[in-house]
Amino acid sequence: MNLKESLINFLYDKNYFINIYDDYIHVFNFQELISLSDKKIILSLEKFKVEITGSNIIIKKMSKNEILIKGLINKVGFFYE
Amino acid sequence: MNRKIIWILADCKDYYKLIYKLQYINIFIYDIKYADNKIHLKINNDDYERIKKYLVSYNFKKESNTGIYKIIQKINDNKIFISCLMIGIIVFIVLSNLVVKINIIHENSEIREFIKEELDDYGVKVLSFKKNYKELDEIRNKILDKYPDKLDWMEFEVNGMIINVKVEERIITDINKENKVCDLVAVKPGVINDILVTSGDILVNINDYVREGDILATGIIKYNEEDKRYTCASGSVYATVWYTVSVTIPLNYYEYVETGNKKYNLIWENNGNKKKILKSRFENYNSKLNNIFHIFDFKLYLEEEKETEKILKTYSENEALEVGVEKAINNVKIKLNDNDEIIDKKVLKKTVNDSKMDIEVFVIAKEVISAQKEVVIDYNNEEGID
Repeated sequence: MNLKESLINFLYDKNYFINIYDDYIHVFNFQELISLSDKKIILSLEKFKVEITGSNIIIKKMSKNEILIKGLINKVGFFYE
Repeated sequence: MNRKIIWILADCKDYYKLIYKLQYINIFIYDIKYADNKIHLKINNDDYERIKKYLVSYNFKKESNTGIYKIIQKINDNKIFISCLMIGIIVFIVLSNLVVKINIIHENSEIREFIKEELDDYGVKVLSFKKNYKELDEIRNKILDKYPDKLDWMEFEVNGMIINVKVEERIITDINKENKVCDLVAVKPGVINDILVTSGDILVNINDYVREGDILATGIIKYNEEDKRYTCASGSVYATVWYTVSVTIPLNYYEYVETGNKKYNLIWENNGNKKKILKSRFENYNSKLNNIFHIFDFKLYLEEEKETEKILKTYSENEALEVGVEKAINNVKIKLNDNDEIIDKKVLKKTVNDSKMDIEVFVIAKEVISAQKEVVIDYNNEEGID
């Protein structure tokens, strides 16, 4: 394991995290983008799914396992299967 | 791997469908901007190639940055080159200002040694930073002032990273200290008007006319026509000396008058050499420099250029005569010492041509005409010396 990976593992020692701000939601370590529209986004994580509902929802930044969502957020729901 | 970050533009009606597809093929999106039926994506160049390969139904176009972003992009693209260049310039400036060797050029090791010590005291030593011309000149003057009896002349020659110090030793030829006999002789003809002799036997009187080479005071003191004592005659003998000076004055001359327009320029100086960064926009101007930056031998000045107008003027006959006489007096003053003075002047001849005036001026000066001249005495044939 190289230095960069060790540092990332040290800083991100959680399997996932979801940060909720006024107009933004930051999701780290999601697995799949299941559904995407301006009113609802569904993301699957390791053991559950996250459903974000609101209005004018847009994706601001996105990588393989990280996403930054902007918009007027009304509700964030978690669904365990 | 090409990690260059670019903006691309895609035509699409359903943004979410496109983003969904981008997520599916693991595209890293740094930023997204939404517009009417268009989407701007900030991605890296590798991902752009993949998008073009997999999402063939969309029309993607690379966007070029403009304005400040274009400059930032250029700097980012070339940051390694720019960093290396900056480091190179700094290393070059440091190395070019470093002294690696000091050669003191003189055959006498004693002189070399004390010059080296003096230079060390003034901070001119090996592996130190070079001083500029002005500072070296100040050091040179201080050392020369400190050792007036040892050093006659000294010069710094900066040759790249090597400083050559040329030294000339002062060999004192004071004939008084060597118990030599000397006379005071006239170095030019004139009428004596003041005699200030501190030793020796005065042979001339005030108002005497003397020629070049005449003895004014002798070091051989006689008594009853016999040589009784020997000394070195010293002092100053002043005489009235005449000069005839011919001067030509052009009747037309240029005068420069400031117009009130001014511009600013930048000047950099390295090792005493000044160079302008921008071309001067005035043909004639007065310049005033303000130092705004100084590191090692490198200086940056802000130059204030005040435009001047070249006006052709003509002297009247009297003005030209006045200027000509002044010039003639100055020509004579160059030959005189500090204690000498101009007594009188008279215009002998004046000729005015179309554009110039030729004048001949007779100048009378009071100046020292005496100088010591060694006399060789044959002591074996002398008798009755006290």
